[in-house]
Amino acid sequence: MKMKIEELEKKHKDEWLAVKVTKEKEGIPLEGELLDHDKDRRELYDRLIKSDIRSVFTFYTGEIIKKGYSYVL
Amino acid sequence: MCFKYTMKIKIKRNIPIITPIIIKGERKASVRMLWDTGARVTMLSWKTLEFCGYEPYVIRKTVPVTTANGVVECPVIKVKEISLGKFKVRNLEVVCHDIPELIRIEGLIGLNFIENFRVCIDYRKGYMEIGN
Repeated sequence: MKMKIEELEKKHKDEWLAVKVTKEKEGIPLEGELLDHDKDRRELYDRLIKSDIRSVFTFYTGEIIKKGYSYVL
Repeated sequence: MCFKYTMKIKIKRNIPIITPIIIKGERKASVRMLWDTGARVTMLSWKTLEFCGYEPYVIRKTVPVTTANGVVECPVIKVKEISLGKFKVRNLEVVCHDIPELIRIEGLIGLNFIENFRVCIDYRKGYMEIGN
């Protein structure tokens, strides 16, 4: 089922999502169909690597930086 | 500024610049990456590169990368194409390394991508403008 990326983010909080993009603007995905999701990025990717999916948008739906942490890259 | 083609991305104060970036190989992945003008090279996670059909485990060319746990040798892979909208770089050398899991991004956009374009970061006005 096609959904806006923001809707997918709200529906699957604090998870990694794999989405088939159905609508984008200038390379920014706007809408898509959920293919898979997992709390663990590596688990999700292990399944994606074994799948026959040719194109995917993956992203985390919660806070990018874990609360209470700072970072230096 | 006068660019042939420009793209504006909204940014917020005190929040790093993160955009979706398309990685092309045998397969295509769009992943969220952090723009890091302090990084000389672009960096991508092992699994993302593996999904796209690259084989970081068998790459012989490596570079030393300083991490919180010391210096580690990381594979360097030539990626067919990396893009944000119309802004594309072909055959870009990418270091294969996982960003610590506390930061939920899949890589860093480094200078070897950024230097191909005119990039204006204006935190006061709240946008990043990219032009070619």
